[in-house]
Amino acid sequence: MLGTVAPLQANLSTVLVQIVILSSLYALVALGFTLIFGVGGVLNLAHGANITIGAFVAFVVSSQMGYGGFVGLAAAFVLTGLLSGAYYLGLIKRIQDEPIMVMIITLVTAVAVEEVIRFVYGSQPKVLTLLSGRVNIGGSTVTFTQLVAFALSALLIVGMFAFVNYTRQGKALLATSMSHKGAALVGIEANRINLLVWVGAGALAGAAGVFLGSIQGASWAMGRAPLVLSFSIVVLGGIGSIRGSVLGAFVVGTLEILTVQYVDSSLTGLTPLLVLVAVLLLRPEGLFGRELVEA
Amino acid sequence: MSEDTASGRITEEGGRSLPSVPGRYVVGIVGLLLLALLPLLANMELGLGVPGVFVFVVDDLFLLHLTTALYFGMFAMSWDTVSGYTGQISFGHGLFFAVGAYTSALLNLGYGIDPILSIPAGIVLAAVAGIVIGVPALRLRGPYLSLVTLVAPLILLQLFIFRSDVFGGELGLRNPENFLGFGVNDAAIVYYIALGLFVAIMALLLVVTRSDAGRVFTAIREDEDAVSSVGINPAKFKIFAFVLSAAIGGLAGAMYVHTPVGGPTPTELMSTTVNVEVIIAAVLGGMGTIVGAAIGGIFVGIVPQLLDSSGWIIPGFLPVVGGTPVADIDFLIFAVITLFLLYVLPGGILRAVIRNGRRVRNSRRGDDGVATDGGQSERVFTRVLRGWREKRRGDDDE
Amino acid sequence: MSSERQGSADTGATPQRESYGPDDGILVVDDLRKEFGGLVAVEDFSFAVEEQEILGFIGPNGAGKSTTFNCVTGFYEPTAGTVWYQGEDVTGRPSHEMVNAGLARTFQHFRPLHDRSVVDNVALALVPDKLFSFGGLRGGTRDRAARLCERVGLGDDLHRTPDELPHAGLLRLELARALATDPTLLLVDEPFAGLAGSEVESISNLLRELREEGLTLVVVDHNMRGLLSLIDRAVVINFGSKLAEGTPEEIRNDEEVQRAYLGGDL
Repeated sequence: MLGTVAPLQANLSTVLVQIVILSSLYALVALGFTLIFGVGGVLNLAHGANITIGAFVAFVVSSQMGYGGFVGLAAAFVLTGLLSGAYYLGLIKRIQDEPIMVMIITLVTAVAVEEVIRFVYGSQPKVLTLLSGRVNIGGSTVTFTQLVAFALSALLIVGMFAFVNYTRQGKALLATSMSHKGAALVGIEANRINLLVWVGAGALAGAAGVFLGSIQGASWAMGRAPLVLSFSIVVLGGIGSIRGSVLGAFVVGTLEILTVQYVDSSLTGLTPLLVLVAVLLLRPEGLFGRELVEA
Repeated sequence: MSEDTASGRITEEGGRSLPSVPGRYVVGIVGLLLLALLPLLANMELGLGVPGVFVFVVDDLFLLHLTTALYFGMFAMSWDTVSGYTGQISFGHGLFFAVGAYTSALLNLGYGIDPILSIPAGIVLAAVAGIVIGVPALRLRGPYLSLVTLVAPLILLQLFIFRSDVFGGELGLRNPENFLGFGVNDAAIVYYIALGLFVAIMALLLVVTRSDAGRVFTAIREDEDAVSSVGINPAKFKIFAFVLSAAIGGLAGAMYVHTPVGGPTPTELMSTTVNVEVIIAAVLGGMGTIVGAAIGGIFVGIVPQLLDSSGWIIPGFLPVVGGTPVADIDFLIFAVITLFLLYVLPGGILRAVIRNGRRVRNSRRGDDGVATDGGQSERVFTRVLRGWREKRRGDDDE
Repeated sequence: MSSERQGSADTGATPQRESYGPDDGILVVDDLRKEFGGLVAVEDFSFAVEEQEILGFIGPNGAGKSTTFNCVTGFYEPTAGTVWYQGEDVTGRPSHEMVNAGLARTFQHFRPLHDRSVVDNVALALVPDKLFSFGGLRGGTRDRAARLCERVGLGDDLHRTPDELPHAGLLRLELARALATDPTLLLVDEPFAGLAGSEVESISNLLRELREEGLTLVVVDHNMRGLLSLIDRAVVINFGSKLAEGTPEEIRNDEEVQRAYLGGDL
């Protein structure tokens, strides 16, 4: 899922630009997953499906209905968020104390969504345009879409960080992520926080889907690689750590670019897998995480 | 009249239970008999009695479809052994299916080794894969463990793509020799071989799970520390479950590719679809019972074929899916039904039936057995996660 | 041993360093230390358990009783120190090995297996640590399990599930399961919490009977009242270190101990 345009054996500034662009996109992809995992304590395996839904909502709104790229982006953001919230209320809330159950249900949901999309839209990727045009930065050709993705990512991440650390709602979120019981004791209603988190995560995933879709086309299975990526980043960064996810995104992004540029370009997509396995085996709590993994 | 001691009470109740064979065993045996006699009904039309509804012909093609379903049933049983029993939920069980299959296929295609020898090699390598997954998994709990199992087949697939020259990449390899040379023209024999293997595997797994190991497995699912505290090493049994499950899965996979219906391709053996389908199968049938997974596996394996033959079409008035043949969206339908069932009956159909049956029986006599046989009060899922939940909350100790 | 042996932290006197060797008792703990990151939960803690005695292990909440307990029984690995059992160094051995060596324990927060009946819970403890074993239910295993249940007073509850048992019943189940492992030393973790007076009496009697039959017992609790009449000797722990040691009389009269319990009634 690279989409960057640069020759092999490129120079340092090209590589750096690619890393920044890619990593910020990775961070956006993983952010929603981090939130749900950190606050709700569950792995939402339908995260990739949210990404796909976002991409196709944008496709429908911008291409099929003709409203243009940005309206499509906004629609993806809002609709995917709402859908995710509804999904939480309908299926997840009841079993949110049971992480394995949530994994199974969200996994089955994910494949169901893939099937529906494949059925309705076919197997061929759909073209999704947000912005056209490209620019040259530091020897690397960067499309305007990628720039917007980068800007939006940075904005959302900074915003999220500020929100979590400086607002009341945000602190409530942090509290819930550490202890449901403790949060309840001070009057924070975990369910409302969780709903907020699922809606937010869905919206972020939807936006990520639009960007991914504009780079590589929107297809029914497009959510799979981002899902694996999200695991890696979140496990590497540590649960419940936004800082960790951002750092994790950069680590994975860097490793990916370096692998493809300097080792073997056919090894694309392997990095997140290896990172995930390595982290789980060596340091399951990740870089910044709390020790929830080993008993 | 025996003394009113505890042991006296037990033998008394034990005595009462001996004559009656539990109903579900009768059903099971009848089912197996039916399966065994099926090829003898060759070319007869079977149906549900209502003209035009679910009528299918028992021809060679049908037998081959059923063969596929049987292998899937074996695969599902292998999944249940580790996931249903010890609670280590495997999200990528196709890994073992594929390792067994590819090993055997490669040895056969590349070195001309006869399936009789290459299949055991597949089993061994699959068991090794079980160790490779099972040992690191000891350090991980719950979702993290499942995450590793989810990712393992993806890594294997990357390897297959990276060395497409050897492994055939995403398209896989061409079909290896048929087992004992039985091909498409010997559908009945291929079917019987599958059925025989199916029964053998079920018997083996039933013996293991009804032995003391089975009660340890389910105890591990309940509470690993409690198992340690009674002097049993949980790690040993967890690995045992993984290796056994992997070996059986590998056996099924290796045999499968040497039939005319199976081939060594990632899609057939370890795609997300396969991995999720086996979970669906065991969930529908009832986790932690072996028999439930077997039934679920056959069901999930054969129903799509039946739907295809029946040529049913979704009523046109339904949005989106109206007008399409049911067979095209069979996986979707399964997924939806499973979600519904998970929501309502998290233990699966078989377990619900057993539970109701047992409730009726319990009013007449004492308890029957332990969770190796369907479980008593709670859903398997609830039990698997209670441990996780408790760990999350932390102990209130100092 | 009297209270004059223990050091006194706040008088500034150098605490007398006790050192134990493997033959000082059936279970000997020497200089046990357990750290969690920066937190020292147990610090240079030493004691010996004499054969066939009932030793009380007392301390307020947060004193380090459970941590010590878990270190001794193999649920935690000690940061430092040595544990001897029957003369053999068993420091850091995993819990199932300790059990098989004869050291059994009950859990303070009961951990019955909810998916099976009382008798099957106990039967699990009779299963050998072997992959291939067919003791089964119909065999002698079930009878033995039933007899054990009777021994602890659960004879009428054989086929109930743990969910149906009252608090005292769950404690008895813990005891039955521990006894099923045929131990020589039994560590009982806070048995009297949540029990009514008559049940405390009943459980105390059971423990005394078990001692008569040859078992050595260590009973942990923070409630002194229930404990002092049962035990032969006591070790008092506070803030991870030994505070006092001696007979119940000595402990009751010890100033340090009284202070530790905030001048509370002993």
